Amino acid sequence: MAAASAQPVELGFAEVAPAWRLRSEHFPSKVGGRPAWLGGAGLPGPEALGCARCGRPLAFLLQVYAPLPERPDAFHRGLFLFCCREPPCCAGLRVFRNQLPRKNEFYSYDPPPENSSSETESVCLQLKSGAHLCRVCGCLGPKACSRCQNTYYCSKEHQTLDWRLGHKQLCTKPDHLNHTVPDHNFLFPEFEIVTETENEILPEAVEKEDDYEVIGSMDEGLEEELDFMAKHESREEYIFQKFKTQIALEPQQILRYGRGIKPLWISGENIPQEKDIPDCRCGSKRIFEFQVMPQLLNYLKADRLGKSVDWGVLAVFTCAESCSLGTGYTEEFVWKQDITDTS
Amino acid sequence: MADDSGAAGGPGGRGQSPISGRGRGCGRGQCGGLGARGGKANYKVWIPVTKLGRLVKDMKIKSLEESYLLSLPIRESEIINFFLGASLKDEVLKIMPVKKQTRAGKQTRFKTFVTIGNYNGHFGLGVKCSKEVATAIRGAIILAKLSIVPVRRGYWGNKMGKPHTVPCKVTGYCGSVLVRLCPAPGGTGIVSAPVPKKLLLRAARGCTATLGHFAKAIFDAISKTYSSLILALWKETVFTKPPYQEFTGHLVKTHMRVSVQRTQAPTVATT
Repeated sequence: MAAASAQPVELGFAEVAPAWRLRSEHFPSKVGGRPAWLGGAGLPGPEALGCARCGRPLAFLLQVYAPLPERPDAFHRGLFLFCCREPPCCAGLRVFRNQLPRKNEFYSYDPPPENSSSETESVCLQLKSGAHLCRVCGCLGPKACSRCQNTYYCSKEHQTLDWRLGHKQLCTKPDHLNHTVPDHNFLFPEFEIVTETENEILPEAVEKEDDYEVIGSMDEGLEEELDFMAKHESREEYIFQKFKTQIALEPQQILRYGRGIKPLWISGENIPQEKDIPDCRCGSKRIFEFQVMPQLLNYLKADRLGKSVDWGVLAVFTCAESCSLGTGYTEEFVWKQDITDTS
Repeated sequence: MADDSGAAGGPGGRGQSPISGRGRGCGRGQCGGLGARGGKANYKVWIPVTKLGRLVKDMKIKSLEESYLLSLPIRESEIINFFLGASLKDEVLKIMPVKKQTRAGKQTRFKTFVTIGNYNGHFGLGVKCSKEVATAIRGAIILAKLSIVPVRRGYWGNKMGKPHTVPCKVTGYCGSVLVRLCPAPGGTGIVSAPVPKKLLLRAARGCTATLGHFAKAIFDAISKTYSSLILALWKETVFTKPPYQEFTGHLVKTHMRVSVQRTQAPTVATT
């Protein structure tokens, strides 16, 4: 993608939307709830969706529908971000990319209708391709309940969770699939992501402090003392203030999208270098695609006094060629930048 | 790029422009255009960016002191506004122009010192340099808020009324300078040089100080009011009973003195 730096930034905002608009056939960009899978084949399995640190299943965080206009094989393209929300881990993150050409076996050639089809309100637990989805988290569910053989889970943790929350009573009843799925307190609240272009602002000159020659006839001693004891802007604070100025125009933004642009970092520490970003399996480099802002955590309502899901900025890097390794889900790279090192 | 072709359901369908979705606010209806944005009105509402900010906004943290207990650094000045907001008064101590020589001539910027305090136990000091005075003052106020420390006050003599002075003699060091703050009877006021006097006035009334131009030592001393451990703060030691006293009943029953139990020699246990 040439001339990437001249590209305007798309800002994403979270909004409440009716459930039908967040289904797969409408190609949504959404936060929380169950993932609205794009391609129906090659879904990431439970091993791919396990937290790298603690091993427990990751929760779906958000998905972004980001097609590439000049690529026919990426007419539909989605990025799915998962995170670990179990304390004390709260750290594992994974992102997957899937793309489809316009003519594919899952969706029609034409755009979907803009109104709600006569879809039932029940949660879709099985893809058209026949793969079953976990009852708790909506990801691929290869394991089934051993008694009724009718409910599917992705892992033992989710099976125990569902058992305690109602499957124990419903397991033996014949038509329990028609009952509403209980709230397992595992999924994040569901929102739609709507986008707008960022206005080109000229950020107020947030200046650095250099050694300046003091002039003037003030009492020299007083200035020195004041200078010593006053709170000077450290480099951390300078970068943080720059971040705040940049988002001040639209403080509710939760996402900044721009393929190839320079990400807006929130801290001076923990900025990834070239060597920290691994290359794609196809051999090409990974470039920055979008970043998730910390304001999203206001919507997720997952803060606790102890350890909880927290980040400064989540930067997602994807293959520069957007290589198509089959019609499955390829793993990409996500970098988490915290604001401070503490807790 | 963010046209609403998605909303209109054009022939290209959803696979047209990257991430083009609906504009904000017209997600539910069919209206096009970016004008109908619902979120424009509340740009003054503080949306926190840090975890501490979110906890404060949700009222999970009741006071500033609680946030000190959690040892989380305060990065957003809105947090201080939330707790101390109305009672904070700021004062500009000094604005001094500083110059830099460039090829195109001299470049002047203004360096501003601002103190802030709530006249009831908190104060802070910030410095910012900027091309305009107003920007510098604004920036310095933010930094002053971020630098707020609590001040512990105590009594000089009788514990009457509210605490009015430093709790004990505190010393602050800076370089070769040593500053000592001593408690004083009420009514003394602050006896010190103008600069530290302005600072101390922000925090509390009734401290005396040795003469000194070196205010950092004073700041250091004040910060120590909460770090000194005095006798009154010692944790009450809970004395446990000595084992002989605690188990006296058991000892009487089973382990009698040899002189008494001559007849029952086998039962004497070797303790």
